[in-house]
Parts: sequence; C-alpha cells; structure tokens
Amino acid sequence: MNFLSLHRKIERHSGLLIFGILVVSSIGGLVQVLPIVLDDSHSAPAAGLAVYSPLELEGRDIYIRESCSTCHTQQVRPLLAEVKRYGPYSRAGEFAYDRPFLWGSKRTGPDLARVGGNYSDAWHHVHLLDPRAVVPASIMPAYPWLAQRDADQGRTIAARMRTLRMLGHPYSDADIAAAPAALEGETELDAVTAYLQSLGRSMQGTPQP
Amino acid sequence: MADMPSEFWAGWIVVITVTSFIALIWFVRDLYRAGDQDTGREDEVWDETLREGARPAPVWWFWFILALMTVSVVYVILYPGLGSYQGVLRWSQGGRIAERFVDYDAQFGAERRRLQALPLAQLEGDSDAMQSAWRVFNNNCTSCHGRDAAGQARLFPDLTDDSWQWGRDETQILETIRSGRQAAMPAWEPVIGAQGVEQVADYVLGLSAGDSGSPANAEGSALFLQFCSACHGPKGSGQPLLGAPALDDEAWLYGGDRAQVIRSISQGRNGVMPAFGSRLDDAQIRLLTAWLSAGARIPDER
Amino acid sequence: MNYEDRIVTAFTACSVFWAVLGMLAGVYVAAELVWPTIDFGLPGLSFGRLRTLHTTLVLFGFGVSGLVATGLYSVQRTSHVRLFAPGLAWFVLYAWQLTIVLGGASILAGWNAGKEYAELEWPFDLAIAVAWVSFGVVFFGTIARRKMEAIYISNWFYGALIIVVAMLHIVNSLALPATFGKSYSLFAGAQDAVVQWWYGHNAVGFLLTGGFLGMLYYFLPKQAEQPIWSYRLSIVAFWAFVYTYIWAGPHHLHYHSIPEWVQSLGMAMSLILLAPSWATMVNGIMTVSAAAKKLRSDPALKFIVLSLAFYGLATFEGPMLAIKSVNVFSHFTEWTIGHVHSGALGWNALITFGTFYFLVPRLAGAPLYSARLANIHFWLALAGVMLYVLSMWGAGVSQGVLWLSLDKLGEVRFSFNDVMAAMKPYYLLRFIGGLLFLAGAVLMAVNLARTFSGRRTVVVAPPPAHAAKGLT
Repeated sequence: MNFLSLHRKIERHSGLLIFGILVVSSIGGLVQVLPIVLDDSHSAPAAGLAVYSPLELEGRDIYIRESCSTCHTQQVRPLLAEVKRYGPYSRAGEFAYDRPFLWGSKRTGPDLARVGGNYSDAWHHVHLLDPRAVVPASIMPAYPWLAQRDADQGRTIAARMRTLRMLGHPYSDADIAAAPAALEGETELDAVTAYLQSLGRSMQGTPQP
Repeated sequence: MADMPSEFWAGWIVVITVTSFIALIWFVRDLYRAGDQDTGREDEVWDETLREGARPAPVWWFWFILALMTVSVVYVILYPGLGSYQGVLRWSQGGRIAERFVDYDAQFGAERRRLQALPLAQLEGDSDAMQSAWRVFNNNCTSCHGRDAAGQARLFPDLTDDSWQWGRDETQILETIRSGRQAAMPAWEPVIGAQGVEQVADYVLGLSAGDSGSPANAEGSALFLQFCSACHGPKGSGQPLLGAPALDDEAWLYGGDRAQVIRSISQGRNGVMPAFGSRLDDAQIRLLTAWLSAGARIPDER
Repeated sequence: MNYEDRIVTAFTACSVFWAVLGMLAGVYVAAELVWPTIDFGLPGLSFGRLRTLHTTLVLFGFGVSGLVATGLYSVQRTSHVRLFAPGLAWFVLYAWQLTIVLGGASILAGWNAGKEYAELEWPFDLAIAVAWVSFGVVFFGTIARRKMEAIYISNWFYGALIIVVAMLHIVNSLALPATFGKSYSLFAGAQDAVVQWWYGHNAVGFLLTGGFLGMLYYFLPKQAEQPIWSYRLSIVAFWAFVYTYIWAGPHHLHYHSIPEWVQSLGMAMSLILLAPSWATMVNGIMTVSAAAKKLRSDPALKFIVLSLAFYGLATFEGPMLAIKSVNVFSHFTEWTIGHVHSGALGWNALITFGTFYFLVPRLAGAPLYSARLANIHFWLALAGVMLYVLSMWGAGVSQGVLWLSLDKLGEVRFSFNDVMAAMKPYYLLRFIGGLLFLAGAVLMAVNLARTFSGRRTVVVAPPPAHAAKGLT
C-alpha cells in the first residue's frame, strides 16, 4: 500500500474523496485551534479587568457597527518602537470580554489599545464629529449621526447583556435591570466615547513594556 | 517564558503534528519512488480535448519541498512550536522585548539620563535634544494642541503664548504633564441668573479690553467680586494654582466673543488635560517641559 | 438529456454584476481615503460600512458566484452526466443572490458581526450554510453519478472548496444571538482571534486559492487544448495544499497576544506552502507553453496566463510575509492590502475574466462580441493591478519602516499622523489603479452582455457512454 495507489482509490470514490479532504483539512485546526479554544487559560481575564459597563458595551457595539476595526487595530505588539509609541504591549487576558475580538488587521489610523484616558471626552466628541477639526491631515470619516442618535435606540441593552451573561460575562441581575436607565439621556456619541475611554484600562499605570 | 499549553494539549499537539508531518513526507517520497509506472491516463478524454499528461512530477520540486520542510523543521527545533517544547533558543515574545529594552538602555540610557539632569536653560540650548522634544510633542500632544502648539477647536489651549492657566514655570509645567489637570468652573446661571451672567460677561469683557471697573456696569462688577474673584482674583488676574485663567488679557481659551463668554459663565467649563505620568518617562517629560518653556518652536527637520 | 447550462449562465451573470458593483464600492472607498469627506455624512457611504460591503460583494458575490458557475459547468463535463438535482441548483442561485442583496443592505444599515470577511449577522450565516450545503449536494451528487471512472483534478479542488469552506464558516460563525440583528461570538478575545484567522486565512486558502485552482485545472487545459502537463504533480500539489494551507492562519497574528507555539507552527507551515502553490503554477505554465501560438491571439488565454503569473507572485509573497522578521515591518501596513489585491485582482479576478471570455461565447453559442474590447480590458486590468500593487508596496514598506524608526535619543521619530499624511500620493495612485481595473470590468460586462444578446439556443449533450471510459 502506497500513497499513490491510495490516491487512485480515493479519486474513484466520491465518498472517500470527501472523507479524505475532511480528514486532511482538519489536522491543522485540531492542532492549532482546538487546544487554544478548549484551554481555559486563554480566556481568563487579566487581574483588574472589568466587564464593559452598559454604556461602554453600547459604544463597543456601535464601534462594531461602523467597522472601526477596519482601520484601527487594538493590539500593541511586543516591539520596542511600538511599545514606545503606544504603551505596554497587549496581553491575552485583556480581551476576555471581547466578543468578537477587535484586534483588526490594518492600521490606516493609529492603534487604540491604549487610547483610554489619553484624550479628554471633549476631544473625542470633537474628533468623532469632525476629525479634521483637531487633526487637519486626518482621513477618518466624520460621524455626525452619533450625536443625533440616542444610545440604545432599539432598547436591546438588557437582551444583549443577558446574552453575554450566558457566555460567561459577570453581569448581575441588578446590573442588567439598571442598564436601560443608565443609558437614558446618553447619545451614541457618549457611548462610543465611553468605550474608547475604557480601552487599555486594566493596564493603565503599568510601567513599560 | 513563552505561553505554553497544558500537558495534555502539549502531547496532543506534538503527536498530531509530528505524525501528520511524517505522513506528508512519506506521501511525497512515495509519489516520486513510484517512478514511471502507473502514470498513464493519457488516453482518458475528460471533455473534448481535456486530458491528463503522463509526465512524472519534476525532480527539482521534490528537492524544493524537502528544502522548505527542512527549514521548517529546523525552525521548530529552535523556536517554541511543538507543544510545551521551548525550543533550543528558549525564545519568547516577552523575553525578546525585555532584551530589546536592555539594548535600548545600553544605547540611549546614559544620554537620556545626562539630558534629564541638565538645568532647563541648558537643555533648551541642545538642538538634538530639542529635536527629540519636538518629536515627543508631535507623537503625544498635537492631536489636541495642534502641530504648531497654538491650540485647537477652542478647547485646547495655545502653548505658544504667555497665558497659561495652570502656570508656565518649570514645576508647574512638569506637574501639568505628569498628573494632568481638571478645570472646575461651575455653571453660574443657576446662581446668578441669566441677567447676572450677561452682566458678569460684559464686566470681564471690559477687563479683557483693559477697562477695569467701568462704572456703567456696577452690577457686573459687584457680582464678579462676590462670586468670581475667589478664583480669578479681585482684578481678574487669574490664579494658576486653581487653574483659573487671567481675564485681564486678550487670550480666551473658549473664545472671547460675547456669546462664548456667556456660555462659559452660564454653563461652566471643565477642561481636562490627561495625565501623562505613566505614558511618558521622566526624560520625555523633562524634554517636553524644556521645549515648551523655550516657546514651543518646531525645529528644522534633520 | 443535455447539460444543465442555464444555471451556469445565471451564476455567470450574477458574478459579473457583483464584480462591477463590488469593485465600484472598492474604488469608492479608495477615493474616500484620498478625499475623506465624499461620504457626505451619510452612514451608508461611511468608509467602514462601505469597505465591508466591498469585501462582501467581491468575495461572496463575484468570487463565489463565479466559482459556482464554473464548478457546475465543469463538473458536468468532466463527469459526463447532467447536473444532479437541477432544481436544488436553482434554489442555491436564488438563496445565494438573495443573501448577498439583503446581506449587503444589512451591512449598509449597520448590521455587523465584527469578524473580518464574515461580517454578515447570524440570520445570513444560517442562509449561507443552507445554500452552501445545497451547492455541495448538487456538486457531489453529480460526481456520484458520473460516467467516468475517476474524478477529474478540477473537481478535487472544487470539492475541497465546498467541504473546507463549510467547516470554516460554521465554526467561525458560532455565536449566540441577542436580537435578530445582533449576536455575540461564542469565542472571546485571543481564542476568537485564533478561530477567526483559521477561518480568514483559509477562506483565502480554499475559496480564493483552492476554488480558483479548480477553475484553472479545467479551463486552462481546455483553452490551451493541451493535456494538463503532469497529473502526478497535480496529486501531490493537491494533498500537500489541503494539508498545509489550513495551518497558516496564525501568521496573521505574529507577535500578537496568542501563544508563541501557534505562531511558530503557522509560520513553519506557511513556508512549506510555497511548494504546492508553485507546483500548480508550474503545472499551468508548462501546460500552456505547448500552446504558445494560441496565447498571442486568444484574449481569454492571455488573462489566464497573466493570472498564473500573479498567482506565482502572490504565493511567493505570502510565505515571505509569514516570516516573523519580515512580518514585523509588513503587518498592519498597506503591504498587506497590496498582497491581498495582487492575489484578488491579479489572480482571482483575471482568471475569472479569462474564464468568462471562454465560457460566455460557448453558453451563448455565438462568438465573443468584440475581441478588441477584450484586449483593451486586458491592458486596463494589467495596468490597474500593477498600479494598485506597486503603490501599496511603496506605501506599506514606508509605513513599516517609518513606524518603527527611532531617533538619536531613542524617541519615536515620526508621528502616526505625519506618516498617514505621507500616504496620500500612494492612495491616489491606488485609486487610479482601481479605477482602471473597474473600467476594464465594465467593458467586459458590456462585451459579455452583447455576446449573449446575439445568442443562439445551444444545448450540449454528454458524450455517448462508449466514447468515455465508463464505469465497468
């Protein structure tokens, strides 16, 4: 029995071909993905990592809605110049409550993993509504509608938090019950700003790298 | 130390990887060993002219994939890859960056410490240092204060003038950068009413124009003395300790037209300067301080 | 009993439509990076949403429709039977196109699962799964009923496309719905990243590479009227490709917060991947070299040969970018965008164009409306892709070097904003390149539509059983 004659069998039998492709194409995933997904150490939150508040969660979901991660990464690599530019490099434990992860794959704009606390809320407001008012060379889109829309227009914050709780995020009944009121009177602009200010929070004050 | 899988998964990774890899090698070798026999299907016509050629796979390709496999095997011997095996080099991401910081200190540390210890005036005269200082500013501060440091958006103050609400001597600048600032001008409309706000606005606009205590606006003057002078001083000369800006000059952070001044008084202002103490190191803060106190001039790019 | 070709025509027409629309969206977002205010403050024209629409339309509209069209065309002819369950095939057509139309609209409306190249929300994920499995049933059903003893090479690749993409799509889309338009991934953070790039890289691997290799193995020898150079090389290329590709995902996460061992295995396998990739390229080039004369006159063949060159280039560039020390400079930069487009425009789009120039006249039973237009398209496409790739290389290498550069005192030398501002000329060139490429695609759409409007009823029957080496 050699592989060539095995292949001759496979290519004469559609069931075998399907089976063969399935087996061979699964190997990589079985080695690389399965251990990562099933090993709990990769989902353990970092010390001091807080779950997103309702306003921050709303902001995060808007960040996803607008596909911000197309242009902004949230991942500081352990490279000297990158740590010098952005701050301490990213740790897996910082992302335990990130569903989905938003590391991105392209830096058209700067990395945001350490942006929390780096600017005042007022700056974020101006910048989101008109980026070129503060960064003249910016090519970021303006997001004027964020200021015009109330946060959680669909009144779904409680449903979203309950879903996340099923996935293991530590929201209490009281947290969920209080969430709609917490978003009362806030705009989407406030929500996105709150989310941005939360980025890198658990690593704040960590000396480099 | 690299981030390693648990014992069970380590075994899983090693067994499946090595077995499947050997199977791939065996498969490739087998295909070439079969030589010229059993290749022919040239007479099979799939579709009109579509046939399969009987040529054996070229020998160079065998060596090509073998070479790539060898490189890969050597790589996972040297670096962590096979389960919890750390690799001959015992390399890890954390270890690498720690080493780079040691190298960084060896290369730049002495010079940075020397500059940090210099008196401000001397530091301002060092053109290399000022070049780097401008870069620190450009990397961290321009998004708010503007590339020319002249302030932006009527929210972020001009750093090229003399009107610094938190003060512009060495210790004040250091403190502003390191710990940040939070202004606390309350909203006055609930206290003094809309009319009172307008009277005070007219009064401070008068101060700004050099017209102190115009008798025509006695109400404004009285309200100012009662409610504003505690922070801004009886003559509106400001109090850097509280971040209360001087009102007797022409600099207006939030805009000096009447509507803006009324807005500032009625609703208050709570400007925030973030703290950079944990983002910038002492040398960077020192460089920035020197560059700012020297007038925030952009050096020629070299 | 004739081959079921109307379904092929329908998928081809959809593919051409999505190509033009998807590339138009691409050109528009490229323009937005030069003139950021041309979204006019409209959410639906905003870069993030429109770019997501662009990738969705070109990948799943243009790419997949083209693959299904060519797959269904070639599987019948290489199996010598009519399509299995043609009714189901028409269901796939309507389900798939409806998913793209509604899914595209949902992205513009702000539905987004947040995972790259899998942004459609869970109701669409379900629809995709159903349509995809149905496609698999039609395809493998046809193969199961074949009159040929063996399964032809192109069908191995189309088969791998169907099986592996199904596996990737289902696992990567696992999510818990919170509302009808919002779900949260079953995986979080670093785990989600590893799953996502296992999906993301192998969507490239088995859709943009494997699927299109199926197209290559049928349409290249057909057009060249030459046998595939080496059947033996195809075997090793196929199995080595299926085995190796699936490991390469973690090279998208070099130096990220995932364990080092995954990154190392990803890099090691990415290097090996060069061998099966180039095996196919060599197989293709040697096949066509016997038909050099036809290459001069046949625009369809010119497209396919050029696509092979870009395939060779992109599959060389890929392993190089997967080397960690290169990746340090290339990652997160425009270089990645250039690499993707040298593959997606240079390889996927060009081979599809060439195949359509071959296919549509056959489906229409009429000669191509204008070979001259097709030649103009060829040069527009070549100029467009070169301009695109070269400008992104320039931009990407600059970003990589400038971002990591330190000055004499160890300070970061260039601010992010200054580097970004310096990208403007590259972005402008990229926009022009994209525009040229789009213009070519529009010419093709016109050319193919005119060809089809001159059609005659054409039916092709499988050869009689004795002509083939039937099942004995």
